[in-house]
Amino acid sequence: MDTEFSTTDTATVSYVGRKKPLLRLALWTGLLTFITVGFYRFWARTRVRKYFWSAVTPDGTPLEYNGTGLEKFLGFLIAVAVLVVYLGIIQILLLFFGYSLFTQAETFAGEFVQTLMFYGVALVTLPLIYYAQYRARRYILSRTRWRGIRFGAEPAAWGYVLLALKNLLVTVFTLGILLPRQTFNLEKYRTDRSYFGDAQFHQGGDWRMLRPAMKQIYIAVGIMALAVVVFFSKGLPDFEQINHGDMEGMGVAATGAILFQLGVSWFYVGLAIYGVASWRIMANHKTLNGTVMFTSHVDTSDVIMAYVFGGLLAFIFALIAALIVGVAFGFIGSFIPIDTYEFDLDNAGPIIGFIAGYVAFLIFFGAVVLVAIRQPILRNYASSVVIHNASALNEIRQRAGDDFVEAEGFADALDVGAAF
Amino acid sequence: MDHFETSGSFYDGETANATPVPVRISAEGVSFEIEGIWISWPMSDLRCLQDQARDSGMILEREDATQARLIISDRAATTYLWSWPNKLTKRKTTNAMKKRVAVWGTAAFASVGLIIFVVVPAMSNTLARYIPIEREIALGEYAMRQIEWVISGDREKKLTCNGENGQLALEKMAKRLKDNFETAYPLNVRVFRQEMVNAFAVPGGQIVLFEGLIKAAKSPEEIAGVLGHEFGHTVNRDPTRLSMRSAGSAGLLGLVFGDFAGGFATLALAEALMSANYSQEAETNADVFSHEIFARAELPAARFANFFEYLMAETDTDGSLMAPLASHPNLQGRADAARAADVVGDGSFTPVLTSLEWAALQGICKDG
Repeated sequence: MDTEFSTTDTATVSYVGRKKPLLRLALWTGLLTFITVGFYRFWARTRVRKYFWSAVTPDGTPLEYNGTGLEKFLGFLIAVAVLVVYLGIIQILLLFFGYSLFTQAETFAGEFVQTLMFYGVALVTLPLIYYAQYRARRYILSRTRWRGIRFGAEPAAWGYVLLALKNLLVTVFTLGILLPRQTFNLEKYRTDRSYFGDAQFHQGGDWRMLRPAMKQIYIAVGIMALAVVVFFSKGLPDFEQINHGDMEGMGVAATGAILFQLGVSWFYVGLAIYGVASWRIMANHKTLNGTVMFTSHVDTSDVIMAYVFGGLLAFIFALIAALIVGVAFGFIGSFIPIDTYEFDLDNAGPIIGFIAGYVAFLIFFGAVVLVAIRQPILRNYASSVVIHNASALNEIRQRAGDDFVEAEGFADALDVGAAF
Repeated sequence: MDHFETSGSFYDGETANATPVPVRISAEGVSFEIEGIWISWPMSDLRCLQDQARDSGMILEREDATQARLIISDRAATTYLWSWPNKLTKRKTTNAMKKRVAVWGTAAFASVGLIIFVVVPAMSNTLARYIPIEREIALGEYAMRQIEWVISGDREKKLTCNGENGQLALEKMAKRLKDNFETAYPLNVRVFRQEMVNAFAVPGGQIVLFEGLIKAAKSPEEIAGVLGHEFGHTVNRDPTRLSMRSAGSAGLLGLVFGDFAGGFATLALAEALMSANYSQEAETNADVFSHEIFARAELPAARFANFFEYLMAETDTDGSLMAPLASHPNLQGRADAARAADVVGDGSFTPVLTSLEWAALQGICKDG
């Protein structure tokens, strides 16, 4: 591959988003969303997206997001009109199975059957989820511009559903060993149907190149397997004995249990690493119009750190904000006398303070997640990309617009929409 | 200064090729030169992209939605442009879009109404019958622990009043009613140390009376009336149906409102909506059940009617009384129905409790 790269005809991608303006935008739109009992969220999401898109700057020209809040609102109305009956019935059925099989964890088998039934009904929504995800991606691409040229995707959502279900089945039956095959096949399907103007993207390579990205997941599974062996190495532990506080001879089982926890944590980190590494490998094998190529050197640890520290920061920041707002409102509320049998209070201070603090926590948490997690991750991904043979981009011509009435309504309704 | 000169990048909306252009900004709008020809975009037509990450510079386009763009990166130039009267941030909504929103908005409303008021109630009423009773009992016991935990916080053990004689009196009262109907549920009655005038039933035969209710009553038959009412809810499986309905609707309301204030607010909303519309029919049926039991036990339902009337009188004189029973809009109607169902009238009857037992019940929360 490297021989095809021109050494001079490259373009880099920069990310110009900053913390303060994004925080201001996120807090303001979060507040508006609260005040409008949630109905501003379509406009809020659109505005934040406009900000993120405009911060990603390939070759000095920013991306544009041209979706509108009203469009998203319309998508929501359509999703509600079409999906609500379906989802309502599913939900009642799930609840019915939950209730009829209600046990207080007295039998493991009962719990198992309950869980199985639960997921059985939940599985009915799976095809719909894949359909919605493909359509949402197509909508977002159709509303993305660069240099005045539209991106786009072919309408091929049902084919995607079939492919996704087939690959999921293979992954499940091979106990996850063929996860890279699933990842690659789906990404190839999406990429090969994506366009920038009249130029088509292409996903090269094959799924085997993603195997190295699975390394940490394999290690995690190994640790868990070892843990199980250690746990049962002295025969089945006597739980009666443990319940009576008699821990003699339980040292080995305890080691096994701790080891298993380690394996589980390792597994989650492994999944995150797999996500980043597979994205990077596949980006390196993407081409546009057969001439423009990409390389990415996105760093896994940067992305994981953004999650860990960003999450921590969001929690602490939101907690402090909640305390300040809560105390301030509580002080104001303490001048409002109330008379109620329900609470042992003579003024509304504690109640108003608690509610205000709770709302402040939610709004600040959402905003700081955008600033401290989403933005650093987007920055990492975007600025890692180098475009090769960039001058070929000048030849690309406009494509027709894609009228898309339902926007991402279905994906949002099924809660499988984009992170921002 | 009647105009401002700067430079920009022009994209014609047909190719991805950038053309560097000299730009002139004035009150009339912007114009730029391509291959010796000056092109003008009038001010009334000029729009800029908003919520952009760059704080200097601006992406300009025209209202007619062609994809041509003019990018200016000079802060002084954009400041100058903003200083003129402009429509840079105005966006027109097409009539076709307005119509779509109106049509789909109506459809969405109809759909939500259909599911919340027709499909979910019908399904929960039907499916509730197929839940095995022992599961319902287990569910009720679990729910009871949750309720105790939510109401009492840390003083968990003291929430249920356990005055020994009061408990005996309560059991005697419950037995007098229970002897007059068949049910598969084990009916457990307890009193919560709470000032509210209220009572409720959870799935599987668990019934709770609040201390405030017992104190507000003037005779044991009034409490027996409330107890009969709650037994009616239990036998009709109302708590189970209600919890299925509110849980079924909570998810849908979550879909409609998003999580603007966390799941908490949506749940509260669902509860409010459900209990308001559930009560009409279910409350009347529970009252009728109570009247029937009273008739079979040869008790005067008129006493039950009196209780509603005290509550009404109290609400009139003291507006701050937080009594969910009293807040029921049709209190007088319920009193009338109870009086009409009375089969004892002025005749004599065996009281539910002796005066000693009644005193013990009223003090059930003191002894413990």
